[in-house]
Amino acid sequence: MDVSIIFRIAAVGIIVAVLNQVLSRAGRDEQAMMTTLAGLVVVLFWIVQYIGDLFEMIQSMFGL
Amino acid sequence: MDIVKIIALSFAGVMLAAMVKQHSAEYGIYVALGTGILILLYISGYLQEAIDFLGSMAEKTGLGAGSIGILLKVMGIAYLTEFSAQLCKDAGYGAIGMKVELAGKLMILVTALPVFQSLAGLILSLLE
Repeated sequence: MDVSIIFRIAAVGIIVAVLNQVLSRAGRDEQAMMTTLAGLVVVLFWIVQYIGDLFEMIQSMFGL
Repeated sequence: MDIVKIIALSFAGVMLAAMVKQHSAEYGIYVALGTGILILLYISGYLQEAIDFLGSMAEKTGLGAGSIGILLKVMGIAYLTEFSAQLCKDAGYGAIGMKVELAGKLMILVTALPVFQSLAGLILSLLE
């Protein structure tokens, strides 16, 4: 439950956006798409873990 | 005192989401989702306290011991539905949010059916 997850997500977002700009300027649009996808996967991986914890906690608490 | 932490967390989340949203929209949604999850995880302790109190009250008084379970289920469904529906609307997809809300309402209705049944039975027995 560390607060740094938000800052990590924002950091990945910024990095991917900057990389996207750089790569698309350099004419390599495929790599730009790749980095976007990679960023997406990394962030989704973190978020899914947290979502899993949250839903498991709520299910156990409310007896769903 | 904890509410101050939660407010600080939400402000940080909002600022970050707004900043990231300019560069790429989907990361704004991720930051919002992350903040929401963190806040919910943070208050789960208090929630557990309230639920334990509710349970102990029900056991002591013996009133509605059966319906406490249903009440908790309905609260849980409402809690989760609200969380995801608002998130869908924030992301700009109101239609999906509405569908989630509709599904949540339906689930709550189905979960609460036994209570209606027992109520109807009670009324009928009174009338006879």
